[in-house]
Amino acid sequence: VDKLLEPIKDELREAYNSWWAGKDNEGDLDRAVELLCKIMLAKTVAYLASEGGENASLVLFATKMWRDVLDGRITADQALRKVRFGESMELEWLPRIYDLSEPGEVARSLRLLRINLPRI
Amino acid sequence: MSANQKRSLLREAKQVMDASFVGGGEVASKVREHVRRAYAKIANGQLGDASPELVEAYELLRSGVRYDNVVDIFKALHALDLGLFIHAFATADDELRAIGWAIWDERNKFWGALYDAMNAAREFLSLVRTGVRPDVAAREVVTTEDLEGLDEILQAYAGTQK
Repeated sequence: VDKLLEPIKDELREAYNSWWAGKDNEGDLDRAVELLCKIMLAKTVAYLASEGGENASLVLFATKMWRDVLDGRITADQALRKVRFGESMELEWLPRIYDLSEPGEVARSLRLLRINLPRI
Repeated sequence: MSANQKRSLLREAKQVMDASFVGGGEVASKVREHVRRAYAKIANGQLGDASPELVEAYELLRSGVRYDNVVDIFKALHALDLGLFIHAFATADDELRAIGWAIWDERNKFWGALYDAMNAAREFLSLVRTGVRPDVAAREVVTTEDLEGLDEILQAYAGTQK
């Protein structure tokens, strides 16, 4: 993890100090939160690597999860849980359909994919 | 005879398929094959046989999603959306078809969300039939920015029914 964090360590320290010096500055707070998410992502990558599961898909998936955290769509705990379950999540987030008898469900599934694609 | 009665969605959709079913990768290619088969079955009046083709296309899309093939998935999604829209249109009643034509004419605006728009229109008609005011019903069903402009289509249609 330390190795993975190395490239952003100085940036993180600077952001933290800056935030601490002027907590009312929302821009700095946003930056601090973003850096925190980078750390979590780095930890996730390290976790996946240690589990022998490192691959581009999972890393990008983890990135997407942390973006969702940043946007307030899910909590960090939820993101970590989703990432820990790894590849199965790829299928989980698009529900199966067995026929076209529930057009609302089909439409919602496609919408889910449509909304998420630009973010992947 | 109205202009719409002279038109054929199947004919126009075929032109769009021929023009837009290009590019992408393995997922898009396989999805398109199923959409074309579904189209052929719909054209032959075998609506029930078309559904499994579209479900299979959805399954290919769903299981093909990775995080390094976004363009491929985009292309596949658009192909499947078109196939589902054609199927929805083929199974629609006259009222839904009338709105379907308006959606189709604005297809560049709803690209990738044609089926979503058609389904929203179906829900809109259902609400209006139960006595909900068209403007309220339109707001109720247009819940995503991808469907921006659909509320005008729905309310315009409701205006023609007074």
